[in-house]
Amino acid sequence: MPSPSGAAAAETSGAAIALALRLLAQDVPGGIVLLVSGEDGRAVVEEAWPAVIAAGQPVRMPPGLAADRPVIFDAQTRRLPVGWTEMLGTRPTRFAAAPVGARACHLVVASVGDGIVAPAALARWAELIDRLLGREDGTARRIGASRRLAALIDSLPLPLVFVDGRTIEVFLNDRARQLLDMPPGAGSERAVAASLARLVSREGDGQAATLAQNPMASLSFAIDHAGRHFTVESQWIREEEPTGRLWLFHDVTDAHRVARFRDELVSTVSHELRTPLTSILGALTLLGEGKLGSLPEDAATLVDIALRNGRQLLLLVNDLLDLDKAEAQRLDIAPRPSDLSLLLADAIVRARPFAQRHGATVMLDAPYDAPTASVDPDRMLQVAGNLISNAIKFSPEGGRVTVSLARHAGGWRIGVTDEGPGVPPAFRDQLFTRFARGEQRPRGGTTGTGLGLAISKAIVEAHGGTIALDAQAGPGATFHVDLPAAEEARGGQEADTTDTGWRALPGAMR
Amino acid sequence: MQQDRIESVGKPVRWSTGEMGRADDGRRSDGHAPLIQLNGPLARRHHVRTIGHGPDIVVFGHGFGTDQHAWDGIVDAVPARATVILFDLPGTGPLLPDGFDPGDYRHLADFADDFLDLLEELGVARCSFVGHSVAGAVGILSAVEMPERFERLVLLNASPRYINDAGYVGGFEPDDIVALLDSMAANYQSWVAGFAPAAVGEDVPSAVEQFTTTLLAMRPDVTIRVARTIFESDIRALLPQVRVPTVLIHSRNDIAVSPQAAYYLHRNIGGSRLVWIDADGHLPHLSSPALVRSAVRDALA
Repeated sequence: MPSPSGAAAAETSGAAIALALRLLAQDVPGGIVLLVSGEDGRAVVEEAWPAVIAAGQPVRMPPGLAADRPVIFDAQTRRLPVGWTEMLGTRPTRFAAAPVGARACHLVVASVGDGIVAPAALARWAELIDRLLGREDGTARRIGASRRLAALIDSLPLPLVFVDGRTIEVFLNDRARQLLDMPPGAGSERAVAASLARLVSREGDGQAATLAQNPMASLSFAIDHAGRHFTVESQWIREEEPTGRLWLFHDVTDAHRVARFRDELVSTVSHELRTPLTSILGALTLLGEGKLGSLPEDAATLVDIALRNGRQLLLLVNDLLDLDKAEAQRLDIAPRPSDLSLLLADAIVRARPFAQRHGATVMLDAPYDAPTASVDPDRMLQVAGNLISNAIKFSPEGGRVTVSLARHAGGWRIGVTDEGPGVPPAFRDQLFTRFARGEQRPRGGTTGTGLGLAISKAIVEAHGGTIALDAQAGPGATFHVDLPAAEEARGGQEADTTDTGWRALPGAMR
Repeated sequence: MQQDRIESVGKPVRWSTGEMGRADDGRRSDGHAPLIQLNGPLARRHHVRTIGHGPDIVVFGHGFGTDQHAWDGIVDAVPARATVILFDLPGTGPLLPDGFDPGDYRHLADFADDFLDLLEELGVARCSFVGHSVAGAVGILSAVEMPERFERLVLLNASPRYINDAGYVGGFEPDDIVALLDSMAANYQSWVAGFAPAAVGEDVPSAVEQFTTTLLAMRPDVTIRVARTIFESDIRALLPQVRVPTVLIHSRNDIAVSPQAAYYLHRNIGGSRLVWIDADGHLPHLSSPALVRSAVRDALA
């Protein structure tokens, strides 16, 4: 990292170089003196006098001017890059240039009219400038202007790349160099820009197309590099016009590790729990059913409590396993033609004891004509049950939960609406993530496993549908499950009507 | 200040080739079609197209936000003895070749270099050049660099400087340009929706549609950079150095070019002729092609 005294020295030498150019310019009235870096053809202005062109701007060099020895030529006998004429307001008559030490730098004089600088004199000026630049690589302008900024950026603990949209100049800090495997000084600026473009097209989840359509779009995506995970954010930096693109790489390796550890823990623990739990429940069921002789009343009550809690625990473990499967894309879905209003009625009946405890009523608003869809009835029952029990939990005393079913976009929309406080905006993004729980406490302090919505989402998506909170509806919460149009088996015969008896329910529930 | 048709025929300009010891006069007097090299890399890069086989050459350059098809309604004006060359100027229109870096186009001169390179490759030793708007300024710069290549310049709604200056009315204050570039950057599509009809300036839906289509086909970041280059350009100092006979065609109520800019060009380009056509807006070749056709025909006669 450059030292502060180095920066000060560079600034001083920058000022001295500017003065040298100014003195030299006195010999070519109307002309211009430039210190440029870069190759023949396309060079970059480091310093100019008069300042009709700003430092950092590209300038097209007449061929042969940037040579390894002093050069002078008559500009009237050959074609020139027009920029010189535009810059000077008239066509230059003569060019002279001398290399600055062993650097990729030239001192260039363009004169108009009779102005002239002898090559030998120019070579001495170039030598002076070389001394002023001292031991530094590169040139005064770069060193002076970028140094403090570079020091600041280099010391940032996160990889950062800035691509200047005007000059295609690229700033990389040390961390970004490590990340992109670029040793200091190596790799052209265009190569960095190109490698960022490749990064987006390879890892950017199709955001390359967004970028092609709207080059000023902000984007964000994740990459893995050398065993670490990064979230990459990229956005335009604007002053009075868009001036460049900033790329930030957030190292999220540790966050990922924690998440993965949690996932593995959840999956292991639930598997380890389920086997013994199944045996415990089996044993308790045998006891409770009196298969081993009738129990005293107190013992029967205790067994009943143990059974209920055991089943609750099994539900939780199953939820966890479901979610684990869903995330590994191994969720078992066995769709068959099912009557959706029967299915919802079933879910409502199952939720009734819970609703009664909370003093809430659940109503079904569904068409009567056997709305059939191809779903896995057990899984869809699980989804409906989840949404309904959530709605009940957040309902006020005497509140009403409405379960609706309607045609929507060729498929079916199941809606579950409550009269509770609604979902706070800050929590909406995390609603469907596992262990998501809002700050809003359900009435009576009941809490769920925090898995219900995540599982529901996985199930609905496995059916090709979507689940969402209706942000427009309110004040209570409304969840929609949209199921796609499927090749439907119309008519009751083919529909799953094994849970018969609920056919009459919709009317009765009102 | 609305004179309908000002014609000012100055003294014929004395003009000689070889003055600077450069390429000689490429005019052919044998009446045969010139040999135009259409298979070079620059011809491909600029999508060069020719019409006709006459011995004289007329090159058309399109303005900002359009492409060579802006001239579709005008090329009929070219006399039968001429070959028309049409091309797209990368950066100023939708065409963006691989490797085009808007950072390399900070000055109009950079476009002029491209244009002269193209003429070189095509083997066009001498031509008449018809340029709209920025292409007009590019034509001026090119003619200052290589006068021997140009028989005449016909400049349609060109401006030597867009920003007002002491004693000069370009039509814009610096803040106007900042606001314009800002609104381009904030929402390019809505900027186009407002700018296209305003620039066309006449209720000619086909013209607005054509201009809108090409503007929307441009990459916003490149377009903003190039718009900045154009709006910040100032080639006033070079006008007295134009040694090529020049005809200036201007329409009225042009939101981009003030009438004073037109008069400034006329006053400072020696021997130039200024023709006002009875049309509104910055793109009369799209909105009033018949009037532009006839003015271009007169200018090329």
